[in-house]
Amino acid sequence: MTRSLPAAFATAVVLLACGASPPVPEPAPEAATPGASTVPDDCTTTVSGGGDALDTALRAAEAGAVVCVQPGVYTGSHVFMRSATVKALGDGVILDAGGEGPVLGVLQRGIRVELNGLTLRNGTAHAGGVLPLEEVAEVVFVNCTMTGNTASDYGGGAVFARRGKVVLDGCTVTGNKGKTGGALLADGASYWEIRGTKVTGNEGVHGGGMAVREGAQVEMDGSTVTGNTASGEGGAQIYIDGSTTQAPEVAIRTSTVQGGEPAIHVGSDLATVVRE
Amino acid sequence: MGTARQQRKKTAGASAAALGGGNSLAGPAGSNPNRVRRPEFEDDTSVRGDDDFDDTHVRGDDETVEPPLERMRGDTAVVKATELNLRKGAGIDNESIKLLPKGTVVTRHAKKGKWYQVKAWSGFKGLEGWVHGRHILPQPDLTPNEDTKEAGDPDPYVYSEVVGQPFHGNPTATDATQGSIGDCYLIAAMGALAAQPAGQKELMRMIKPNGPASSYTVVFKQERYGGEYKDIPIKVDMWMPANDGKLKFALNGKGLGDLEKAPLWPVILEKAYAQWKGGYDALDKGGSPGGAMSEIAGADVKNQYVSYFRTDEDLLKAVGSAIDDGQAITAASKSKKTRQFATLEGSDAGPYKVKMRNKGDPGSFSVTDEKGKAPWVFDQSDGKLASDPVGEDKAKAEGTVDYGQKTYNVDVSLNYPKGHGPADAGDLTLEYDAQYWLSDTPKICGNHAYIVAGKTDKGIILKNPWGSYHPEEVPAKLFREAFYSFAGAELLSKDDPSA
Repeated sequence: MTRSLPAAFATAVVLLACGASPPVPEPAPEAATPGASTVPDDCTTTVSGGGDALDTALRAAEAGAVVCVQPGVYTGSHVFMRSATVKALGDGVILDAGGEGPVLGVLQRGIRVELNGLTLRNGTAHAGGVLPLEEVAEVVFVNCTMTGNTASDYGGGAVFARRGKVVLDGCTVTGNKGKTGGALLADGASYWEIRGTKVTGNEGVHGGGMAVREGAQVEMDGSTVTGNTASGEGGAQIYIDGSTTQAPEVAIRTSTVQGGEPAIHVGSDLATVVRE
Repeated sequence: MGTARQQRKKTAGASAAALGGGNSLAGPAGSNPNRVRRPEFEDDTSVRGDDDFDDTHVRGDDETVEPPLERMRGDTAVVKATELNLRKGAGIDNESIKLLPKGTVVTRHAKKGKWYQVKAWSGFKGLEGWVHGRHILPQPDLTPNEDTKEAGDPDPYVYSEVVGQPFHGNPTATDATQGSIGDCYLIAAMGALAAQPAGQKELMRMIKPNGPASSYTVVFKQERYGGEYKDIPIKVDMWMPANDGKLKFALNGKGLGDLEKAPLWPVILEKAYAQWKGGYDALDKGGSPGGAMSEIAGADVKNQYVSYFRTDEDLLKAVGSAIDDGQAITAASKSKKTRQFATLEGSDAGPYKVKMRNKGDPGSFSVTDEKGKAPWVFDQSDGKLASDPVGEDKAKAEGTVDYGQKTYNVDVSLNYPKGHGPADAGDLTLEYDAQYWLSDTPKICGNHAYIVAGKTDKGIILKNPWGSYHPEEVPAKLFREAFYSFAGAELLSKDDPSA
């Protein structure tokens, strides 16, 4: 199930495109191409050499750029101020934050970022070691691996979002640590789609694999959340809790969520949890 | 004080008259005016949480429903009567086990009619019994820990009814001080907003008295998917967590008798936030200062990690830009353990003591005598210090360590076997893994939120929501090492002349 962006989001995109320069059309979503070795025709820029080369390219890229990346270890945080697609040209494209901050930053309202075929590791943050998303923006991870990321102060060792939309499609999320949500923390007014993704081997205090709080909405299809551990209150795999005025909506379809007692902790009477 | 007290009496009287009809033992409302007009009831000092019907066996046991309080969940409640019988069963025919004083915290576990089976805290260590619902008020959950009290846990707390005003002039960045709960993100957000004229307006606008100021409605902003905000009004009373005669959380340590001139907005806002989020316990699970600013002021918040900036100059420029823009700004420090060292004071066999403002890792403490006279001492992760046996009687050093998990005060006390103490206290070195201080000069606490109060050419000026240990100027290089990020809230009313 997909969900289109709300009207306010669409308006924001239009307004951003109404400046002096003509609007740049967003790239059409593409199928994942892991293991590709040739440079696709749609690459706006090709990056190689590791280090800060990718971040430099992203800061210079125009809206809608498709940045293709040769294998290598690309260090530091990678900041997006405009819509872009980052595409791995083969295996071994690694974004490594070196424990000095989050792997990614998305700092502009209304943009869409897609990351395809990347390994995202060693990020650290108050929340969201790979990505702390606090803008009304859309971030799509396709065929990704997230590992070794931490957010021990708040939560979501790998990804935290309190606004905007996050898509995980065909990803493996393992070996991350976070307080509330060992790997993933869906918070505030964020919306998540998790498809064909494995969340396993992560550690948290509340929700070893994932936590869903406040008014966040999660649609999970064809995914696996197993083998995660939580040291605190409930929900070895998924911890769900809301406030007194809003509560998460979580739909889990054709997915496996198991392990621990209980596997899913629901701490709010208002929460809607659907398992099909 | 007098006016508020008279007002409370008036309210209490009206409430009792209105609610009196619910007591099936006493008959319909007004059927016995003598009971309603009982002389003691006219005198607030003699009201003991009783009904106004039969003084011979009822102390707070009439059968009227508790008043609803908005946005509350959980089991915690406070005794609002001067004294309230805790009974063996649900009904006034059951024997009284204890008289619970006003302010006692109870947790509700079962309900039978209008009676609640409760555990009493505030020093009663979970004593079980039944109370009538009319004389307790629901309060935000705050887990009592008297049954499992360990070294370092706070003393039993009560809910105290506070009298005062939310504002005395404009709010300021230092009005709110964090208490013994992990909500630095919220207190820092309050301080950052209060540091800006537009934020002050937001704070003063969001807290509205309900009639005689014995309760307030606090209006938060809840963001919906897509970035729009919805008003969330939360009604709070003025019963606040306290222990040892002082406020326990925001306005930490402020004496209850010293609130006449204190701005109470931080405790009102904190309590409302706790109610909204599901209790003080929920606040203790942590949060983001940016999220809190957004929920208080409906502000668009941009959280920027220091790793997004390649140079110190770029970082300072970005902070300066946010300041120039009139944004409310917070900063979040990293979570890191550091090895800390300290000396102890004492003589001979002891006790040797030291107290430090910090929080330590259980199992990481040791005390070494540099001269080698006293035995090496270590902690066993259970709050106890010990050593290997020494001397003919195979005696051990003994002591205690409070890891400061709740109080943020490491407290060590140590005794050596007679004749095996150090030659001089200065020979002893205590070391342990501290969870908090990332830097000694200036003092920067880890896993903490700060208020950004300004910037200089070389650094960023920070205030600590504790109300003390302000780092003041933090050089940009150190800020990059010790902090994750800063969050700037674009306040909606800054350009609104009508605000």
